[in-house]
Amino acid sequence: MHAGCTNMIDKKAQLKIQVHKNHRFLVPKSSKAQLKIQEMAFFLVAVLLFFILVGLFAFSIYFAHLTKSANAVSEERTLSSITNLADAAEFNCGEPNCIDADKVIGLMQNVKYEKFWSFSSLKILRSSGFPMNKDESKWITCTPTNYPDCDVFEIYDKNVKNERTISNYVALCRVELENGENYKRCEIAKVIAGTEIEIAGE
Amino acid sequence: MINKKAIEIGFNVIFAIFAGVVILLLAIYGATKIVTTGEKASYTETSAKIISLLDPLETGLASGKSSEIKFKKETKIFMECSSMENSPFGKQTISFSEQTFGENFGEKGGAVPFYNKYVFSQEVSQGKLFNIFSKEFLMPFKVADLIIINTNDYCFVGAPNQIEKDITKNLGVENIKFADSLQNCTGITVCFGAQSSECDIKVFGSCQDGGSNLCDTPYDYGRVSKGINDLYYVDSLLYAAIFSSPDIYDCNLKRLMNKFNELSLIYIDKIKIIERKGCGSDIEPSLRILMNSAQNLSSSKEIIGLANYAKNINTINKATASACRLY
Repeated sequence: MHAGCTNMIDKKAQLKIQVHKNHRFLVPKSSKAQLKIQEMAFFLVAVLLFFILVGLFAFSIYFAHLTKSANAVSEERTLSSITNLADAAEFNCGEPNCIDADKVIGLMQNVKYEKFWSFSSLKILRSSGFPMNKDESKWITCTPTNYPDCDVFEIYDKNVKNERTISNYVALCRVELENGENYKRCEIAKVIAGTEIEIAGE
Repeated sequence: MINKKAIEIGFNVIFAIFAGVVILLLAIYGATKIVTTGEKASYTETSAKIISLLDPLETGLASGKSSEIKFKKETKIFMECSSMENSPFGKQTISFSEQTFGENFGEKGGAVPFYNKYVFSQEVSQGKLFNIFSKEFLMPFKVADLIIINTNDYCFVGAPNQIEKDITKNLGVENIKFADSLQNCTGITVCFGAQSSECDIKVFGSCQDGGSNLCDTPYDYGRVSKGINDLYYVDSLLYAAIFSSPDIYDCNLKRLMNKFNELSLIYIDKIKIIERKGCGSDIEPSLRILMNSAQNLSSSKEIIGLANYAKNINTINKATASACRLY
């Protein structure tokens, strides 16, 4: 029989945890001390796991707060942008808070503008498409061919998963011809801009 | 044990102390990391909020607007510009940092990009009070609003009355003073038409109409000299050239030219739309020539030629009946 095993049999209060004797390293000779180290190691692992769990929990709360805060900032940016959008060079008709519909038709065909504004979607709804006049399902999208007999100018839509929209009322003007005279015809319209909403964990 | 007075420290005590120290160090490291990350997140959020604060500076019908941003602590704003990324509009980024302990600044927050604004400033602006004003940039229609951010006090020496009126009355900018001579000046000196070596920035106007009323002042276009760098300007780009670093100026000028091209395409489409309503326009060929020149702009020096060509387009547009005008 092996020498180590003979010693173990001799001891009265035998423990089931086997203590290895490795003489290459400076380990306490007493098996009781070795056992304490093992206990401590288990305890340390438990403490470490506890800290990791607490850290993960704190991190998840912090991350959820961060996502919420990022969404709030994004929406704030959309709100501040949309209130001044009608004055941007791409839209302005030469009057305050007025959009030139004849320019919007050209803008709709320029897909590069998706990369210009921070909105996830941008459209202009004419008064003919307002809920009291027409359901969303019946809106006619404006194109150079059907313009001005349409309801909505879909400037762009990034088709994001989660989106919240903010709208702002503007004057929408276009050049018209009546009795051989050109004039600017204006109506009320709504600019609708979307903000992508991040959901924590998605 | 031979020496009975000696303190016996068992192996498990040493082990526990060692493990305790390791755990404590890890906890301190983790806490520091969390604080730094929190600080960085907060700085990034501030940068995003600064961008929102620039939205009301959209000029609309006014030729310019001004505003101030005040911080409680000494603050640094870092600006970067790239005309190559996010083609064709390019992009700018803003990052933020503030004083933490003593003279030290916290690690700067994440760079928040924006694509629809043209901010002219130094690469790093430092201070508690940030003066901001905007001026519209026309070529010949409105291309964008130039947003100028500065923190220092400026003194304009020998500036024409139109510029003084524009800054003090129209914009109400308070950190720019006007003087007739350098002796009465404090802050960064901007000399108009003077060669003095005491001037930090020199402006040389080149608009000479010979009595044909094409120029409001000789400084309608010209160059701004900042040591070894010469920045050429037209109209409101004068302010951009004075307050901006040469790199940001050149980058934003390229971005503006790219935006001019995209806007021109919109106007060309508008020409086709209003033609259906009986509005004829001769602008398209000239606009296409200007677009081509804008696309090939290699240095700010060429902007003066482009602006002169844009004036011709403006003349054609003005000659059209008001309801049929392109812009």
